[in-house]
Amino acid sequence: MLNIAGFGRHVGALGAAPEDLRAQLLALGVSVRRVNRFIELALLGALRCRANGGDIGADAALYAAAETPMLNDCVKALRSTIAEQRPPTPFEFMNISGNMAGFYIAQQLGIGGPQLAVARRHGGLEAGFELLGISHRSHRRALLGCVDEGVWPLDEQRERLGLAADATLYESSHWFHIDADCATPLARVAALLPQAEYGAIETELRALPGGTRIALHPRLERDAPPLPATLERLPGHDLRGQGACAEALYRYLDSGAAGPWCHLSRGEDGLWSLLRAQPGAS
Amino acid sequence: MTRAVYLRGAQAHCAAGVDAGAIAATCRAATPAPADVRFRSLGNEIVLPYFRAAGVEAATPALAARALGDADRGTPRLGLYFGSSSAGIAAHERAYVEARAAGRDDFPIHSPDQSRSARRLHDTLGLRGPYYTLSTACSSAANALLYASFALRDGVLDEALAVGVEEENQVSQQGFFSMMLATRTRSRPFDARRDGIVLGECAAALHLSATRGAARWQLLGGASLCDVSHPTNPSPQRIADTIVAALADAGVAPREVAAIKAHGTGTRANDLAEALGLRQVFGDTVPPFTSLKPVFGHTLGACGALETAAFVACLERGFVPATAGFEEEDDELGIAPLRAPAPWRGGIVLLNYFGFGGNNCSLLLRELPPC
Repeated sequence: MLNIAGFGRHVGALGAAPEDLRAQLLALGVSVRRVNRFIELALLGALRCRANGGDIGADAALYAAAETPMLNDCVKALRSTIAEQRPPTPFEFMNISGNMAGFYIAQQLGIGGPQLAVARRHGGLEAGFELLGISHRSHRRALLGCVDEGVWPLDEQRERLGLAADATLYESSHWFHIDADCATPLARVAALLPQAEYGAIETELRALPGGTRIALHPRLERDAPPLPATLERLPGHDLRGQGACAEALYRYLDSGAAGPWCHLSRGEDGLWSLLRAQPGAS
Repeated sequence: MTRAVYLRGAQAHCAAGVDAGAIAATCRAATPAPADVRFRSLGNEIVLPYFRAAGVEAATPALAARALGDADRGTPRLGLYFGSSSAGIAAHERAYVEARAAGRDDFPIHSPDQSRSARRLHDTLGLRGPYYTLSTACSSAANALLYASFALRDGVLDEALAVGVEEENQVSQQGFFSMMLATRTRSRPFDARRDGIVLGECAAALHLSATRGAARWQLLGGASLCDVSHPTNPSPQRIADTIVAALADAGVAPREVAAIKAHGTGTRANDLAEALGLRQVFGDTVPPFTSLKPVFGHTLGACGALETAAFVACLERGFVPATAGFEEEDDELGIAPLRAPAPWRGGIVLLNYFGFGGNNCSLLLRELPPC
């Protein structure tokens, strides 16, 4: 299991105009030029994680999960190249790289280990935990995040995502500091590899201690699978997109991680993902 | 648990063809001639060379299936590691162009999902294990190979499919043009007259396994490190750090490396940093090295899969390919790539891949004695 040494986030409901993230970064003493909103958002969450959990370490790994990194700039680049016949500017183009947020976080936090952007629909954070678990022995520390960017105009974004015209949209940036050598971890987390059969998940769920609290991905809330009666189901939350699992884990940690916990999700591919955690002291 | 990782199969679909023999033959030949790509920019018509390989998306499932051979696709212990830089932007671009051509007042990018290509491939192949989309710019597929090897090595998985896909799209072409990194002539890695990259498209797939079977190659290890000195220009020091970390991970001494497939993009900054980084690690005895990008173009996030497959195809046919079109040494680099194919007598090879965002990745492969 991976030791969680710190966590932090930025979450905001989207209003008519974008919130000024640059000002919030400046308030934290960070000024980064020529970056896009996705990078600002990622950086803001990562800085809050460091503020809560301390220095990450120069040899740490940095994994950023996002279903659609740099969506704002991708939309802008397509409009400029196709509709306006104007090449993207150099910074518009280079900032499209999904891993560029990781670059700026690594630069700000002095991180020099591997730096990956990872994507898996409805399971990006879990995918990050899976990859970290595999390589963790060579990288004792890591920063793992999940970033969901707001895109304006909001009506267009709702249509892009297939949401109702009155759906509230959020942007979020959740980050978790993982340290194998942390003497007093807040919690310990493990991701089960995705499973095609619910039976395998059910076996795992039945093996969890009685009273384990379970959070369901919003996609499962209305059509939950049969859950063992020994589990205590947690109420849902408003982040219904890719930040759903990260928000659930954040809330577990923020509440003091008092007992065992898990998060269950199922992707469009039919694969089940299970993230489980237990208090750090256990 | 630490297990050996074997390369059981490699397939590619690129401008040089789809057959390993044809791809190796193109690598042995003189400089291939790319096609043209044309676009309008600020009222001017721009013409750039481009290595086109039609039908990349459609070809991917079949070549991935060929790479997997008789591996059990239904086992949950087979993972898919998908690397791409543009990751589906070509499909969004086509949809937007079609909508505009049809007179629809549309917006770019519907149902965004960077993992869609991997998910579709996963479904088409009937895979049941985990899948990951890794995006680290031009080292994406190299990282896919590296992380697949970690999972096999640790015993988390028994088989893995590492795939790199890059499709022609206007955003990438115009973006590199905008950054003044695209040459209008041809790619000349490590040459004194190099002036930029020529893009290309491809799909390539490699089957890694924890059991050898008839494999001729072992993936010994590698490393991926972040260089925070500049978002697009790598530093010699961090390239050297990455190679040193890869050698350590693989348990290989520098003197054991028999040949190097360089990243070798043909840009001023990348080739200078790579040459200085190689000299820092290998001193005055840099092993024979080459760049394959004059043959395939720079296939961006897919080059880690394509160039690994192609390099192995050449070595299996007894030669280390030359850097096609290389003519004039650059004194600032202090080293020069192969001008003519060199005989391959077996051993260990180093493969370098670097990407925007400071993503450096190095891999080490060893040719195995016959079974």
